[in-house]
Amino acid sequence: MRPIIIPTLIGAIYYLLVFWAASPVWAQAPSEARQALEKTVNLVLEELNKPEIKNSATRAQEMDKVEEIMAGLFSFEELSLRTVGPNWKNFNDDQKTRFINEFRRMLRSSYANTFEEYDGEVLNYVGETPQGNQGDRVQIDTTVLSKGKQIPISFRMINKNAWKVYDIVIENISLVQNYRSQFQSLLQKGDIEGLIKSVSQKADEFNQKNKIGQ
Amino acid sequence: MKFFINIRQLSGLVLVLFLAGCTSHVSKTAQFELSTMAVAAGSTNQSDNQTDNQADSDDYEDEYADLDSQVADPLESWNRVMFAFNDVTYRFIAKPISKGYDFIVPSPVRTGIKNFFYNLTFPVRFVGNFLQGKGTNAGFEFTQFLVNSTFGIGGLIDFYQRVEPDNPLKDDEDFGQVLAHMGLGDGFYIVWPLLGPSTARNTLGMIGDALLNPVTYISHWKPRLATVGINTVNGLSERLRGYDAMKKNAIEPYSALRDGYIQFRKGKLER
Repeated sequence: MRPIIIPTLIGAIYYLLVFWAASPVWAQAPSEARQALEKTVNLVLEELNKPEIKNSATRAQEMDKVEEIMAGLFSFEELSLRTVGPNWKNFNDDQKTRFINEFRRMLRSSYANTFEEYDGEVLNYVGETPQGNQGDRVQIDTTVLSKGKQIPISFRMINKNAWKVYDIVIENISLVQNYRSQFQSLLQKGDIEGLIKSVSQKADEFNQKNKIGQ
Repeated sequence: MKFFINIRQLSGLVLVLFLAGCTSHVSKTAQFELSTMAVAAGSTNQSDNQTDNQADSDDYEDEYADLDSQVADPLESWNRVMFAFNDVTYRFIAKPISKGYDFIVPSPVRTGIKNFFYNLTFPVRFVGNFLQGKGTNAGFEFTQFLVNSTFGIGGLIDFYQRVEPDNPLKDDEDFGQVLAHMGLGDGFYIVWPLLGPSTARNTLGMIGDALLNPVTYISHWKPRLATVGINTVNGLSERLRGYDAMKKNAIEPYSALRDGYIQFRKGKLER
């Protein structure tokens, strides 16, 4: 209805981590994927409730810990190859490794500061749907009540020995799809090395901001 | 966003753009299908010799493939200029105005104004629901409007939210969605100055929205402009916050906004 308002919702990506740190109120016998998700969310919440987080001296260290726990839930390889899309096969092994590392660094630092926004939000389990026909992927739907508004958040997970998240969908906007469109645009204009450099620069930019913020 | 528009002029322009867009969209889709077929053919070859370890990561189900370039952007060069224009406008005009406004006007008043305008645009959502056959939601909209207009003092207070916390009205229905429901495709992506991202279809939808918005019928342009202005400035800080967040996380902001807009609208249609 009001097109300018749309960026607001796109901006929900920024709040990614706010909703991570929420205690799930889940019923039923949970699936393996859900258990994995729940476990990480609870661990993050546990850390966020520690007094160290309020203390500016121990805060940075505590944040590293939270980041580390969260990173364990993701498969950055699955995330990267989907985000690059059809162009992934043109990457050589070295480029793949470097891309995954830089993208991981970028995503991690992009959410490093957002924990401060956490305000007791609760993640509610809505349901889950299998994805594809190989039985190794599932989408877990949740909602978060934030400032009086229910915001739908889905986690797409893949089973590679363990269930790992490879995409987060907030208000129907997929993180992977959104970066994918950006990377395709960058690859049209430049080459693979240029793309890796852009991602790396963005990660540096975030890290710089985080340092200033602390 | 209900800026004053000369509807007759605009609809002519939009129609031309729209027809142009429809044809180019068809050819783009065809091209795209060809390229996906090529990719699909390539991946079946790969799965034949799966001894290679590397093939594992190359040979995955690409569930995102059919989402790529689903809405054509034939006006990309114009759109990029408009995107840059809007960006500068947001940063150097909208932001200072918004900051000043938020400093002067206290938060409860801002919420009241927001609620008032939300209530006022009830016809847009009601008719939107009705035309999409969403009878239950149309009923809820009607109740909400009655309750908020009376107990909520002309819509200033969202009284309905208090008596009905499980308000199922999560979505604002609009004419763009009605047109989509009728089977009209997006056409193409377009960035309007000040209004931001849209598609040909949703631009047509905006005209329908404007026709159902009471503000459009304020007879003198001065009070009409003032009303539109208050509504716009009042909602500015929320929009700017979202925009800033989007830009902060983006590596290529133009594509990020385009994709975000298209995904968001698509999600609305599925609900």
